[in-house]
Amino acid sequence: MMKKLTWPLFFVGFLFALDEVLALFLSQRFIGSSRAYAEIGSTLMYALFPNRYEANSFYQGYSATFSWSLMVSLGIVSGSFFSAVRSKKFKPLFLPPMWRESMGNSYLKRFIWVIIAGILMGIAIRMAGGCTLTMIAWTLLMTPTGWFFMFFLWMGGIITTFFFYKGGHYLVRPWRE
Amino acid sequence: MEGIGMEISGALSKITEVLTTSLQEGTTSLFGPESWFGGYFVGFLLGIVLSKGSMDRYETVSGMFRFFNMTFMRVGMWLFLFGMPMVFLAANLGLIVESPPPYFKPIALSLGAFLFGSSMAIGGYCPGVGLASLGRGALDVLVWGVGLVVGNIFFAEVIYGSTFHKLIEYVSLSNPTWSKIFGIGYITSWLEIPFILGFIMMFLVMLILMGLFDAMNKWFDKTFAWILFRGKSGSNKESKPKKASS
Repeated sequence: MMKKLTWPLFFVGFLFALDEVLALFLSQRFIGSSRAYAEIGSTLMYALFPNRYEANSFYQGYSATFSWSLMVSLGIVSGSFFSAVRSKKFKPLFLPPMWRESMGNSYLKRFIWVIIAGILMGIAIRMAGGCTLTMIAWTLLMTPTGWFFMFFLWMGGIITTFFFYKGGHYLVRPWRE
Repeated sequence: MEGIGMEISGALSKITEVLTTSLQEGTTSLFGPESWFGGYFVGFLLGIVLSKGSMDRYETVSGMFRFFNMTFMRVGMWLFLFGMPMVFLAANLGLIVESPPPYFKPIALSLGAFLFGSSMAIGGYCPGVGLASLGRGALDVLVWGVGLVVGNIFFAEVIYGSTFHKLIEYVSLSNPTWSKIFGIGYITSWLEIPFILGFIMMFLVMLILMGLFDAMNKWFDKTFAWILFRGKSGSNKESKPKKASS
């Protein structure tokens, strides 16, 4: 079973849901990994600029610590690595094949855009109050927050994809299912 | 030069101090909100799930916004379909602790989510997917992760507490849930059941619609693609098939 490349999507969805409940049962917390990045940022600020760290109340909410969220993040990386190695799909690469198809082979271009995307995402997560994993949990708890988030994420993604990949590369044939 | 060396060693000692404190707090048990083992175990399972659902790559994220890879939508539908009754049952059986939902700030949430979607379209990763992609060998995630940390610091230093931040967080509704909006209690109330059943029906309909969309897509490809994608980069280079001679 572990050696299979993919599992049926209904089974994947079921296991995902089970994992959400498991997180609530074990740790009384929702699965979320974005907090880990904020805590790494806070730790860096604490180490490099302690005065600014003390003065800004943001760092009281996301204090300098290596917490549960960081362990979730490490767990995701190692779980995915374990699965990839077992099913023989582990392959180090810097340029995703579809990016190469749409935007060319420049490593520098990918480097610049991916770091811009990272910075924008860091800001967006703190503005919205969580990442997709957090919002999935809120949706499971029957709140409108997750639905709002998903709708605007979808809008932002579609509009940006249309302009960023300039229409001509919008439908890349070999990747059609 | 010596000053820089002192600063670096001071910073490293502070990071070690944070690590030591966190280690003492986090490694005592499998249970509890600060447990490292619990977090790692949950994350490990999630990593396997993301990998086995093909949600560990740029192609799946970008494909969703290009309308030809609906993996995320499908998994999401199944996740909510199974997850909503599971969370409800677990809460009613006392297995999980009720926690209040977050404040609903529509302006901040919609702006943040729009920006999140935009950055997801450019980079091709969200935090969970990015980490799973790193496990599969996508090294660009490391650069993206540095960007994410920088973004968080930028928010803390520039946006947090500013007039703009106050403005977008001005509208704030306290702890709404669908059932509360309709005048019913929180997740442990049995009156939630009609809502959950309603959502399950909706997800089933959406899954059927997605299946139809895929079938239409395939039919479109088969019938018209040779006209639309002729000679374009990445297209299948085949021309219109000739009629077989009798």
